[in-house]
Amino acid sequence: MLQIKNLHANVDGNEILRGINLTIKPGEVHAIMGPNGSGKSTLSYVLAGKDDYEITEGEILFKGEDLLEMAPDERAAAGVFLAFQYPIEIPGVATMTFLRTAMNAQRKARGEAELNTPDFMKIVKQKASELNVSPEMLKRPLNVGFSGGEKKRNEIMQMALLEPTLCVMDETDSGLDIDALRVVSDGVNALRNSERGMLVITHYQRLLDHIVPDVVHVMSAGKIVKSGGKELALELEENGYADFVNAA
Amino acid sequence: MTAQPQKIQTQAETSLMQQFAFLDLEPSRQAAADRLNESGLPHRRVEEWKYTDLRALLKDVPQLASAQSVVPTTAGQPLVPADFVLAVVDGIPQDLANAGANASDAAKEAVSLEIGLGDAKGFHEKPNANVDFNMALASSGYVIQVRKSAVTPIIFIDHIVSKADAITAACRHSILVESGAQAILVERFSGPEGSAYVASSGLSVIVEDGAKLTQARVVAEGDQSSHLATIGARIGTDAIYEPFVMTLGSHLVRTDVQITFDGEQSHLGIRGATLVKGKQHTDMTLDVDHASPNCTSIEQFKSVIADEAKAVFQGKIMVKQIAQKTDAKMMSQGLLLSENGEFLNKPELEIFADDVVCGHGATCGDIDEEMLFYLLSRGIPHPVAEIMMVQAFVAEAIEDTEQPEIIEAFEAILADWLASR
Repeated sequence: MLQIKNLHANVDGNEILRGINLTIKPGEVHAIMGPNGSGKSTLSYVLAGKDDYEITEGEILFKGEDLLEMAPDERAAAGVFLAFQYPIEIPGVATMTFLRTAMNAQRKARGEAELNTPDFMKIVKQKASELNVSPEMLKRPLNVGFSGGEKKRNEIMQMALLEPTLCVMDETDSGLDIDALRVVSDGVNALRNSERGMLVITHYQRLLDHIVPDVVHVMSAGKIVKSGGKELALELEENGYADFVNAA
Repeated sequence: MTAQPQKIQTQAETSLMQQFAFLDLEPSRQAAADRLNESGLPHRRVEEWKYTDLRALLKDVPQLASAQSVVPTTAGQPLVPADFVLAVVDGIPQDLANAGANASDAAKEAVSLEIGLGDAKGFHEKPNANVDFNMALASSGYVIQVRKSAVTPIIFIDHIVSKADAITAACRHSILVESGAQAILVERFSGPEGSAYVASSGLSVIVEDGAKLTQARVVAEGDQSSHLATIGARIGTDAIYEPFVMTLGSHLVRTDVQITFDGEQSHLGIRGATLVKGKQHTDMTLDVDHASPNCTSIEQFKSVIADEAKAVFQGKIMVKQIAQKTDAKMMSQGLLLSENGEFLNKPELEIFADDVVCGHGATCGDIDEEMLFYLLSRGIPHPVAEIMMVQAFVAEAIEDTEQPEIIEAFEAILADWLASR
């Protein structure tokens, strides 16, 4: 469903991505690990369509379509979801209003009927309780005053509500304690199915104990320098990134 | 022989002076007219008018409407359900016979209404051109008195300009909220599109000891009009005054608000939202005088500027030497929706007391790209996301209003404005 071919991207003239090749098939969970500054977050933003990045070479195909030609909201409606490393606080926008607007906008873009209030409430309440998101949080402005864990749970709740086909998670484990990590991982695992692809970006093996990947990639200096099975993550945990950084 | 510099009058000044000459003014109005005659309309070299050069911007002062020329009209649908519904047409207050048709007996008991020219005690004593303009031109208005009661009466005043021909509509109201009384005053200003009318409005407010006045005003005048408004308020001891001014219509708007703390332990919460587009020019000039100790004030203003419009905010807080333990917080924020919009933001604090907490913030910026991207990344289309961001920006000021009906009315006006852009 996702094919990234020789992707090069710049920020302010600095080349961050230097030829990424990655293919994710439906049902697969891929993990990307790598040291700070290797371009992991940049890759996630490029997939979501943030316009701070200049694509100089390469292409991204999503379900056979040119993803780079699509606006961020079109990508979302097509099924791309980015769980942010640092979810943005938006004062003045109630979480509930935001969720409803997003869900209905995507439904509308796909030519589906909008959800009525009782149906919407029912779905949100159910997903919220699964992810320990309190009704009180839903009433607050989006992410404002949320703890790190609350923000991440809110991201995964959005992912559950929007039911994307490609889930990109950028360091979803950062800032989570052990219990929150379990809640979030359970939420993610519940979404695993044969149709849905996932790209999990993380620094630590810990998350991958809970969300067990099919493929692990090591990214360094804007390239994927090694790919392997889940045991690669263990190897990295043991030996660090040094071998790969030097290889790049 | 010394050469006298000759003052050249603008069309608006000539027209204004000619009208003054024909009006048989009583002394206080004549004094205001004389001051304007002497100084002319204020211009950019007068500090308070630096960003709103009235002499250049006000093209004419059309014929002042009189009671004889006005066709009696009733108020439109009130912004919020009100006990008393009053109409001012072309500056002339309309008959009070049915004003309290919806009022409960308790509300009728609490409120007395008259037509006339009440006092102007709410205003500062130092002369102000906008106040003088209104003082000289306004011949009547509503005189409202609210007594202490178990109820909080809601009074709605609908200011309508009815004529398609350009006129000048001037009125001045006064409201006295007596000791321990509470009231809500809601006002709307509207008029025809395409007419270069001038609306001059004055409001003198006295909030006595232990009293509370909540005020909500919507300025939605016609697109070619000029709206010159003045509010002067005095707040007693242990009293609360909470006005909100929403400005969206008119070609030119200048609102001068003067507030004085006359007693201790009182609170002022003044807020505003300005929504401008096209070539509109709006100016909110605030002058708060903390003249008593132990009072608190919050001044919070939001300006949304689209197209080539210009918004001005001047906020002055004076803390007199006697006003120890004052706590004043002023915040004025501008959100620019276009490259060519302009926001001029001038906070001023003059503090003569040494044991006070006073802060002010002034910001101006575009829509936050990070926030916008977050909304887009969830599938919300750009125009919808932009509307959400503007609503969120303005909501912060609106949501501090206590009355849910008023919040709802303001939100509806904001949504309409955003939809019409």
